[in-house]
Amino acid sequence: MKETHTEPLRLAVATEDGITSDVRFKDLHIVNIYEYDPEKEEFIFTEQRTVDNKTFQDSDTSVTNSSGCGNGTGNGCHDESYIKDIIKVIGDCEYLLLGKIGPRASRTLLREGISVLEKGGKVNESLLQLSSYVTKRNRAMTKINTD
Amino acid sequence: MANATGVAEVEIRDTRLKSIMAFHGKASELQEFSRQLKKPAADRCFTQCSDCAQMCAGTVTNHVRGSAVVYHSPMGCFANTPVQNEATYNAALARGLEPFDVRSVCSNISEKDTIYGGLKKLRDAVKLAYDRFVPTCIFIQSSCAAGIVGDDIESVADEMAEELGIPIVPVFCEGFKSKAWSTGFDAGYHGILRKIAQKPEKRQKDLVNIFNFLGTDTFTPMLAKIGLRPNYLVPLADLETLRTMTEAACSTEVCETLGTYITTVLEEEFGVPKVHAPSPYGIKWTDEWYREIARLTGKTDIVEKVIEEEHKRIQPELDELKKELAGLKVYIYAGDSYAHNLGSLVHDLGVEIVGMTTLHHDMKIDGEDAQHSTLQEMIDVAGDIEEFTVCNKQPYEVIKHLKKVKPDFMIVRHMNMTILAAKLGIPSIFEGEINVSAGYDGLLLTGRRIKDLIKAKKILATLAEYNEFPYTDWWLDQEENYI
Amino acid sequence: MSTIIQEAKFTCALGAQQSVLGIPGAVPVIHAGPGCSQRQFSYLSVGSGYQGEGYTGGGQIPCTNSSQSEVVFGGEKKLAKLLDATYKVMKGDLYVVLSGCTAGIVGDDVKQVTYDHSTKEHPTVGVDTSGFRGNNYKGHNIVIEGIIDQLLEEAQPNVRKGLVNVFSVVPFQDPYWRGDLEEIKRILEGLGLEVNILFGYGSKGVSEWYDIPNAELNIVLSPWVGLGAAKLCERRFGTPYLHNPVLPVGLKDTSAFLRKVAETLSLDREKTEDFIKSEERRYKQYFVSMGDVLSDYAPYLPYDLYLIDDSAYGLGTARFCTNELGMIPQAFFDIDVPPATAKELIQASLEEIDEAWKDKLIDEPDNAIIRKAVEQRIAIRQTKSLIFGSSWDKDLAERTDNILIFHSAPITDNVILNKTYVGYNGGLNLMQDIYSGVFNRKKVSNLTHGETERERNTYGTAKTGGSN
Repeated sequence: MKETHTEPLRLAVATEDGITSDVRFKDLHIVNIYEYDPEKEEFIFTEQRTVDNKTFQDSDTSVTNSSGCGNGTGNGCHDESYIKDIIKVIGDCEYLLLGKIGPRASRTLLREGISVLEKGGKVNESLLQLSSYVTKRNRAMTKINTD
Repeated sequence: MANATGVAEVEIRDTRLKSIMAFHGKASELQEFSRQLKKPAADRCFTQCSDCAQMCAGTVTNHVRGSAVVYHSPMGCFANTPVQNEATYNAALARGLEPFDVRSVCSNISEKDTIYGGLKKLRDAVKLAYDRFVPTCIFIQSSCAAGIVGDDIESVADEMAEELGIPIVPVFCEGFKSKAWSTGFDAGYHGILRKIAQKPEKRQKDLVNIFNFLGTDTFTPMLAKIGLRPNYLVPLADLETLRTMTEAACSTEVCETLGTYITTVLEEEFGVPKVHAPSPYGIKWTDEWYREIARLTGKTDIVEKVIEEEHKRIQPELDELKKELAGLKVYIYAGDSYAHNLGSLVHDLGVEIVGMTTLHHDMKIDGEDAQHSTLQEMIDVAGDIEEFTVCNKQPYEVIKHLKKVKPDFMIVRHMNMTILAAKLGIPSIFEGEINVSAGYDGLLLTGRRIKDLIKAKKILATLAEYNEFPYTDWWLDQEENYI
Repeated sequence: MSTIIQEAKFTCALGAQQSVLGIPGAVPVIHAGPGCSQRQFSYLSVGSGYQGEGYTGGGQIPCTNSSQSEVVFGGEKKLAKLLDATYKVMKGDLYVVLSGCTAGIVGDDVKQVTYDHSTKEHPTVGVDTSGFRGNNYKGHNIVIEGIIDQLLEEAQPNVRKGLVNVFSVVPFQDPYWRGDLEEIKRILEGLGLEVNILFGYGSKGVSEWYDIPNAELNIVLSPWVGLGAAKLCERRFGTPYLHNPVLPVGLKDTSAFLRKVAETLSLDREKTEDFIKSEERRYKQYFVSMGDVLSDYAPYLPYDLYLIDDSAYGLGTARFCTNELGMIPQAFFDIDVPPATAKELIQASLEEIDEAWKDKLIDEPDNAIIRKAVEQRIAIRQTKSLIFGSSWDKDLAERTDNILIFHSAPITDNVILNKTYVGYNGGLNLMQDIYSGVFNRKKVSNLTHGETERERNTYGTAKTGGSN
C-alpha cells in the first residue's frame, strides 16, 4: 500500500547466484535491488543488500500462558520480528521477487506495501516481463493524467 | 550464499513463521512437524475456487452506518450486494439496532476503461454516491481490474476528500494481490487507520474494542458483568464510533485472523493495549479472556467472583446438554485458530472431535513454543485428532476425510462447505455469525443448536441418496488427499 | 441510462460460468482471481432463488485463483497445470475455461491453452469472459458461441427432420430458467418435434451440443440473446433459424409461436392444431375458472402495469399482461442493455399489442433509479398496480400496498425450483400469483396508499374505518 508515486519503483530480487531467483523466503539472504527507468522502460540494477541473519532477533518464543500473542496461536508480535527485519532492508521496494513464500508472510509484507512475485528461474527473463507489465501500467496512468 | 555458520543456526532461522496450506495426518503429527520444523507436504496442482481479499475487505467496510461504498470494478465484483444487504439488515435487527441498507455503487469498469483508465468513472461514482446518499464517509474498494490497469485510487480519494469535505478511504484489496484472502481485512483496517482514526483526546476506561463481523450483541451482557462495555467494530458502527477506537481501554477480537493487524497497530501506535488472551470460546478460554481484560482495566478484584458465579450458573444446563450430546462425533472446518477455539468449545460439551480441517496452519517457531500453541492446547484438552487436515476450502479433498470418519455433524466457518457435508447426509452448524458462540452462554447456545441440528439428519439422508458427486472414481479411490 | 450502478440487476460476463453449469455434464474451469467464481455464485445462485451449487457448481468449481505472479508473468502455465489435474479429478463431458479480468488484461490466450489440451476424452474449449467486457447476458452469448465454434469446429451436419435447437433464456440469470426450459421443450415436443433444449434438467447434456449441426431449424426465443449463436450455426452448418423475439407467455403468444414454428417446418397442420387446441382447451378452462375472482373483485384487481425485467422476460410478460389480462402499460424498464436493433424489435412488438406502450420502454440497468421512477409514477396515478420486479422492490411494493411478482434477479425472498412463467403453464402460474396478491395481505382493499389519503381527505376518517 505504497502511498507515494514520486519515488522510483524498486524491485528486490532474492538470489543466491545472481542469475536465478529460486530462493525460499526462509532462506532470504541476498537481495539485488533494481530501479525502474521510465525512459528506458526497463529495470536497472542499483545495489546489492544483505539480510544479515545475525541481526535477526532470536524469536522470543516462550509463552507464559496458553495464549501468548495474538490469541493463542503464538503468532503476533514476536513472530513477526523476522519479517520486520526483512522489511527494514527492503521496505522501499514495491515488489519482492523470489521462488517461494507462504501466505502469512506475504500478507505481512503486503501490509507494508511490498507485493510478492513468486517465480523462480532466470532473473533476466522475469525482469523483462515485469518491465513490460510496469510499462503498460504506466502508459495507462499517463493517459489518465492527460485526459 | 548459504549461511556459513552451520546447519543448526540455519534450522533455527528456517522455521520462523512457516505457514502451510497442505497437510494430512494426526493433529499430533502436525505438532511434531512443527516441533521438527519440517514442511509436511507439497503444494496443490488442482485447486477449486477460493475467496478474495476484496470480499474480506468488504466485511470490514461495507457495513459502516452512515457511510457509502464505491466499488471501482466491473459488475462482477459487485455481485454480492443483494446477499450482503440481507445480512446487514438482519444483523442490525439482531443487535437491536435500526436496520439500514448497504449504500453502495459500482463504477462498472468497462473494456474502454481498462485501456484508457477508469479514474474519471471513479470520480463520477464517488460524486454520485455523495449526492445520492449524503454519507459521512466513503470507502473506495479497489479490484483486480483497477489494480492491474494501475488506476491511482489514492489520488482520487485525496482530491475528492478535499472537494467534498468528508473522509474518502481508499481500500487496496485487489483479489490477486495475496494468496491469503485475509489480507482484505488488513486492507480495510489500514484504510480506516489512515483516514479515520485519530489520536485519542481522552481514554474511556470502561470501553473494550471488539473487532467482529456482523454479529449479535453478545458482549454487552458479558462485559457488563465486570462493569465494562463493548465498542463493536467495524460493521454497524458509524463514523463517530470508529473514531472512538483509539480511546478504548483495550482491544480484543472474535477471530485472530480478523483482528491481528489492527489490534497490533492500536497497541503500538495509539496506546490501546491488545488483550493477549484467546477469544472467549469454551470455558477455559472465556475464563482467561475475562482475567486478561480485568487486568488491563483494573477489574481484577471482581473478576474471579464473576467467573465462579458464571460457572455455577451454566453448570445445570451444561450437565443436561452433555448427557444429551454424549456419543456424538463432530468434524470441524474453520480458519486456523478459530477451529481450535471451536475444538475447545465442543470438548466442553462432551462431544468427540473426529476430524478437523483448518484453512491454513501457522507452524510455530520452535519446540517450546509449539508446546503452547492453540493446536497443542487443544490436543491437551480434547485429545489427539485422528483426521487433521490443512486446506483452503477444496471440497475435493475434504470429501475423503468426511467419508472416512463419518461424523454425526459438522461445524463450518466458511461458505460452500456445509453443502458438501449435506450431500453426505451430515448436518452442519454454519458459523456465519460467531458472536453468538462466545462466552459461557455461547457454549450453552451451541449445545442447543446441536440438539436441534441433529433433526436434519433424515432429510439430508434423502439428499445424500439422490446426490451424485462430480468426482471421478479414480480420484475417490486415490490414497492421496490432494494433487 | 446509468453506467454507475447502485442496485445490480445482473453481474459481469464471467457470470456465464453458470450457463456452463446449466449444461448437464459440463464443467466450468475459471481462470481468474480467487474471488470471482464465488461472487457469481452469490448473485446468480443464492441471489436467484437459492438455486444451489447443484452438480459441480459453488465451491467445487476448479479455478486458477490467479495471484500477483500470474498477473505479471502470465497465467497460462498455471491454467495448463490446472486443466491436467481437472481431467483427473472432475467427471465431465465438456470442460469450458472462462477467463476473468486478470487473464483478460494480462493477455493470457485461454483459447490456445484449451486447444492444446482438448482431446476426444476431455473436450475443452476456452472463452474470454473478462468482467469488463460486459454483463452476463453478453457473457452467455460468448460462451454458447464459443462452444459451438470450438467444439463443433470439424462437425459435418447430418440433418434429422424434426430436430430443433432452442436458444432462449439465460440459465440462473433467469431465476425460473429450469421450469421455463422444461415448458418450452414440452410444447415443442407436443408438435412432434425432437428438441435439443441444451440447458437444464430436461436436457440430455453435452450430447445435445454435439447434435446441434444436425438440426432442421434453430429457434431463437428472445429479442437478442442467442441470436449470434443461431447466425453462427447458419454460417457454419447452413441451419436456418427462426427468430421469435417474444418469449411467449399465456395462450395467445404461445399458440402463435407454435403455429409459426409449424409453418416454418411445414409440419402437419392437423396434428399441430390438435395439440394447440388441446392445450388451449385446458388453459381456457383454468382462465374461466378465474372468472369469479375477476368479476367479484373487479375494482380490487391491479390494472397499472410496471415491469422491471430483461428484454426476453419483459417483452413476453408485457404482451401477456396487456393482451390477455387487459392491464394498462405504465413502464417497462429493460435492464439488460440490449443492442439498438433489439430495442427497435421490442418497441415494435409492444406497440403491436397496445399503442399505449409508446414511450413506455426505458433502458435502465440501475434498479435504484427504476424504483424511484416507479414510485413517482405510482404517486401520480394513485391506483392499484402490479409490479414485476425483484427483492430490490419488496419494500416499495409493501409501502405503496401494491402487488409485486418476484420475476427477475435478485430474488432472495423465495426458493425457486421448477416453477415457470413461460408458455401455457407460465401464463397460468402468473395469473395464480397476480390474483393471489389481491388476497394475501392484511385486508382486501381497492385502495392503495394514495387512495387512502385521498378518501380520508374527502370523506373523513369514518369512511376508511379509523386509523391506517
